[in-house]
Amino acid sequence: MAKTNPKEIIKQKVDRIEKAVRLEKPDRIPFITILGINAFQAAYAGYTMAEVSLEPAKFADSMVKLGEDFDRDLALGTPGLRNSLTITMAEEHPELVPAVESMTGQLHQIVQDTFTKWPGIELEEDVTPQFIGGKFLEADEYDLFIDDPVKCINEVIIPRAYRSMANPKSSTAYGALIKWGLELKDRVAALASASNRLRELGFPKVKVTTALNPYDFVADFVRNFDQAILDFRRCPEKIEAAAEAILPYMLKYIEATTGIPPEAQQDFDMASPIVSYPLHLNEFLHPKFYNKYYWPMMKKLLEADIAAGRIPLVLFEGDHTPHLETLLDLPKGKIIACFERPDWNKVAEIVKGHQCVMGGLSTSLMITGTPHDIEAKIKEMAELFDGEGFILSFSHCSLSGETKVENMRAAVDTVKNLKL
Amino acid sequence: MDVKEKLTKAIEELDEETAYELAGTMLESGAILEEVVEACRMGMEKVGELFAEGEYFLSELIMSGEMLKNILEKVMADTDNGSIQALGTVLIGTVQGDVHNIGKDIVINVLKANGYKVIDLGVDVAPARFIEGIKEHNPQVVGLSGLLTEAIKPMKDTVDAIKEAGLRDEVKVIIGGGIVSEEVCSHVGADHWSNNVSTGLNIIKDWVGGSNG
Repeated sequence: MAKTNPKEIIKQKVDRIEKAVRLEKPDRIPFITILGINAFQAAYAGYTMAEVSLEPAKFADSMVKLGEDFDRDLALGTPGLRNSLTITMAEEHPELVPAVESMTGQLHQIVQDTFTKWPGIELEEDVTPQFIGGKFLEADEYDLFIDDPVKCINEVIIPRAYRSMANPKSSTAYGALIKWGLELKDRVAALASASNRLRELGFPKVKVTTALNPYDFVADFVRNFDQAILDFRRCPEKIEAAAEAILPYMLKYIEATTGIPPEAQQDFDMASPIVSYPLHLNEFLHPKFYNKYYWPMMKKLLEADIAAGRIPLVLFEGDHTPHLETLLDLPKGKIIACFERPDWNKVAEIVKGHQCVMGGLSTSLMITGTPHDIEAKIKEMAELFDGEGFILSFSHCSLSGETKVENMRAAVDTVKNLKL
Repeated sequence: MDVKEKLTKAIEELDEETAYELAGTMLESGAILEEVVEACRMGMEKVGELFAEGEYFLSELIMSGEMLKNILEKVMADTDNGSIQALGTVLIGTVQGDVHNIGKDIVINVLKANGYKVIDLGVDVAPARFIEGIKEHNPQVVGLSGLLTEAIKPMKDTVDAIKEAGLRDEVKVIIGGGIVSEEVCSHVGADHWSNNVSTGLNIIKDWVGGSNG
């Protein structure tokens, strides 16, 4: 039997995803993976975590190897952790922001940032790279950020966050910037080649970016996570003003990273770009803070995306159950709401029929379960959502090295064979 | 309402300034350390109840933990608190390869507030360090924390190492974090699991004893 043309396969996959977003019933449940540097993918391709962290070509190759053997409707991936301090570039150098937003192991060695830790550098060879954040601004310095966030990031935060730029007027700092440029060239080339290869394999190529709720930006890159949480009580007006101050730059950053010029339309398989938002503070915040500060800010971003024809993919980390009702504020069928470990019955009760829901496959179950367990879990989720407005995905962006290959196979096969 | 009750109330209501003032006032007026700690503990117990009822969230546990820490560290900087009798000892750490501390630190504050002695081994803790810690501190409970899916294997390695060292019958092992579940618990060989601070605390109370147990 002749193989179906990749273009035809891609069209079917995009149609499946778009139908799910519009809350319609596709021919089958779409399966999307969002995987960063992860031990399963690295080991499957025969690399250590240090190798895929420090050598972009090996990371790119690991994405392709996984793509060759495990079909999915969309494979989103990022070669590193977030480096969101670079959103200050969005105004003057919009062409640079898509590439500079990622912190890779190689870049970590160059700029010597203090907010990430890497295998083969601070961590053992076969450990996941980790974002730990940091406090780069004291509470009594908030006004510096509020008055001019770009100046504050460039002149105060970056010298504190990147050890190589502790003295921005030094040869160490200039040298780091030059090396950063060289690193980018290698990385962009490796990822472009992987993306083209995946497209040949029948994976849709979509324009995608990762953005942050401004409050998460303040928690991750300005005040540190625990301090930001205390700031909601100690100085709510300051954290609110800081989030408001960075919002315009976040919006510019999203526009700069998702714009598709008309002549480049044919390079992408989905007309709408995707904006993914990994949320951090959500699970931690009392509804009184979530509803007063965090959600209204999120809504501004989501409404801007919806108005511009982008599809927001919001990753609600942790247990988001107490905040589910706020999703009803948005127009129907416009976002993808991805959940990590909510009360799924509540999600079905509240969100079903309003927004497309994504998730359902715990990365822990991929280790401890059997193929039968995986199949049963996928069927259970499909039934819970009646196959409408639901996309299967993993609960985390990292698959453990202990993940069983047969479970990955079961996930791919189950969605393909599941009759809706 | 006496000053001790007021301090308990200030902690329950997360009124930072008032709580620090009252703790200072109590000490100045000759209260012994145990009375201040007891007032804080009762406030933290209220906070824990409100968390279990869904009235308070992690943001409130973090704030109450910060208040307790500041009272113990700053207000009582010159006092020796070694004399306080602990209900039991919990040895805790984020397992090897995982450097996240937020979840672990919340648990530590809640345990301390409930009268337990906590030995914090920090993050990225190798199995051998857990073994050394058990030998040195004789805890009743060992808590293994992890945020990453990759933490499951080092959790299992740590439980296996405790078995090999012949110490498994000496301690109860609880695993915690967003990635744990009943299946992960049996895979790892732990005695219990929790991804919620108040249920975790109740499990430890059942094992070691404590009020509301």
